[in-house]
Amino acid sequence: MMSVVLKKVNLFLFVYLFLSTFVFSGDLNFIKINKRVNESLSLKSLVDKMDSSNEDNSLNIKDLNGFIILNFWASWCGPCEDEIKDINEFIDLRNTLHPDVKIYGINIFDNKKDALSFKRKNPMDYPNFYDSTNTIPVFFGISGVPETYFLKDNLIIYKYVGKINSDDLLKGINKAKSFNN
Amino acid sequence: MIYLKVLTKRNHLIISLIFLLFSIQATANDSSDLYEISNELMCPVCQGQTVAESNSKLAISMRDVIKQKITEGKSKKEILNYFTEIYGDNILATPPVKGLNILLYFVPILFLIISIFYWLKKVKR
Repeated sequence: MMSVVLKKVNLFLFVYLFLSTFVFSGDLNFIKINKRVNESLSLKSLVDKMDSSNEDNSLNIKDLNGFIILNFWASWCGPCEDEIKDINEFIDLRNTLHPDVKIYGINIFDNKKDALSFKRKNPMDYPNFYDSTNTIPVFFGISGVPETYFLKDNLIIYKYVGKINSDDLLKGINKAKSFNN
Repeated sequence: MIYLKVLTKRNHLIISLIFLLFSIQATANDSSDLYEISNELMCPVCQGQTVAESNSKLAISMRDVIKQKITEGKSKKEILNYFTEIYGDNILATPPVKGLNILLYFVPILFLIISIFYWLKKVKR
């Protein structure tokens, strides 16, 4: 009798775990945050002296309004290099589907020289900044790179842990847009 | 006149020395505060290392935040609260005695008492 019950429990657990890998796997990388940016978080523009782009010299995350995506990366991180192609692809999609969404790359846990040579090697079609204070990762509770954050009017809504692709970027925007505080 | 000049030079030297001593004292206090606070925080990406012991990128960043908060004049309690708001109580090297954490403090004592009783019972037999 007992062995029959145990067999049924085992079967149930197996089916549950098997199905859950398919049902929940897509959203496992998304983590709900719901935290307001209430302190000044200043970043400097990651541009060469030779760079002719007209990017702003600095950015304060606290001043950002509307829908914002922040992608945190480092020059020594392989997945960060892999995801650039997808983010560049997403920029084209964003222009037609979500023109109100802004995306910024933020270099952390790094030095400016390595970050600049990484950026030269891997062109990014979105403005990039670097954390000169080395304090930004703590505020966001970042544990590693790459991590991508979805914000709406100063509120950090979701984070995506790991290499992101254009589908997940769109999913993140839809999640952020449908989020009710 | 020469005497005055010497006096002024000596005064300058004394004042400079006093400033030097104060700055050394302040730096020593800051670094001991930094060590004390970072030793009370666990590194979230390391195994069993405090922020003071770890050289991971995140631990270095956490030490920089602690330095910044000390410079801003924040107290140890305020700094520890800042980190627990972000990472939760698990970030503390000494978890507070509340909620499920109570088990951490009392279960070992309970097991010790049970073991003593069991041992005494066995010895009596």
